[in-house]
Amino acid sequence: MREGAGIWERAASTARDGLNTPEDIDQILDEIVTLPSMPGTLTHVTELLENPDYSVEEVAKAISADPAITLKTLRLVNSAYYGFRQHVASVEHAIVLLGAKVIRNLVLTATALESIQQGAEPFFRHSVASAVCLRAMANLHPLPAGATPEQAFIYGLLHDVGKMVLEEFMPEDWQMVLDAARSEKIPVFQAEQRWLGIDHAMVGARLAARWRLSGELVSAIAGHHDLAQCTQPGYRSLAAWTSLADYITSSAGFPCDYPAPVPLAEGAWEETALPVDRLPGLLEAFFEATPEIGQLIKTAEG
Amino acid sequence: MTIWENQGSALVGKVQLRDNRRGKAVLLPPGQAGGAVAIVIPAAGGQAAATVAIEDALHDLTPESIISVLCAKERAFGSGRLPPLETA
Repeated sequence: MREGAGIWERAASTARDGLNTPEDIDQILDEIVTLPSMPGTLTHVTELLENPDYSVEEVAKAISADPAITLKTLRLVNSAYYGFRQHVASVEHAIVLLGAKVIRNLVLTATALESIQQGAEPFFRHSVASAVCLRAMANLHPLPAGATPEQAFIYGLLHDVGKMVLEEFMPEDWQMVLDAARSEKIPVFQAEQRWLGIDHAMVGARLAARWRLSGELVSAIAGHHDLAQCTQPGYRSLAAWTSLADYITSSAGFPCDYPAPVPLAEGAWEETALPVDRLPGLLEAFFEATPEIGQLIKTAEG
Repeated sequence: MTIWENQGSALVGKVQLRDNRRGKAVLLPPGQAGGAVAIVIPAAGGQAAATVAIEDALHDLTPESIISVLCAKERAFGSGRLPPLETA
């Protein structure tokens, strides 16, 4: 029995009356079960790494306390992307090699992969493809707010995480949303807004905030269908880039829900400030990187 | 979403121009003009219709159309890096 059923019905009903506020969404999220395994290990590791004099041993111990995250972190470190000639066999070794910032990002990636692989296969594939796409683009074109390619990867990986929450805790309503989107030929987020009063971007952003993830990431998730929803206006362009990756991956054959790609968020293209003649090169960089999608899925599935 | 139709060995689909007009994209398989993409821009304002390579039409197309066309070309005639394209 899903715990949030009554709440969702109330949410949809109040939404139809235009009554849902951010506080309502928080209340809805408070009353349902949050995603598993988040953010224990990540929170602990982040806290330890915030201390500039962190102890490698202590951080390694915090990561190693979660075997699934440890395994995924090591698989990621040893993947082709990092290109180390030597095999990295221990968490301690990885921390020494990569440093605090990268290892924190890796643990976040491993945790996110662990969480989102519980979702439906197209959702998982689309999330990983968006991550690979954003990172490939960020390698060629600097992203705003100083976002690194590794951070961009996380934006792509988690941009649709709200869908997983909706699917997990309200499967019947979620199916109704998908059916409505299909029959009315509208994007899923619009069907969510119509039928549930909230959409996966709002839910995902609130969840990311609750996981104490960065303001940039929360904004990228919140605004990827509607830039006005960005929690911090300074990060609108990150949301715009996330919207662009979402559109590209769907067009490239990695859709999340059904084949029609959702439109770019209004104003997203202008917000990226990308010269149009750079677009073919960015697309080619993504096409080149697509073998990573399968590799990452294998890494996640073990 | 662009619907792609087979016309001989080529694929044809509608594209959106920045001035809100509709044009057509013609995707040619490798071997025919090197696997090129041609954009057919309809006549307007006294100017005749024109068929140009996509590289020369980037500023005429919406970004969404550029993405749709280049992804479709890769899916239809590329080296298998993307899932295959479904056609009407």
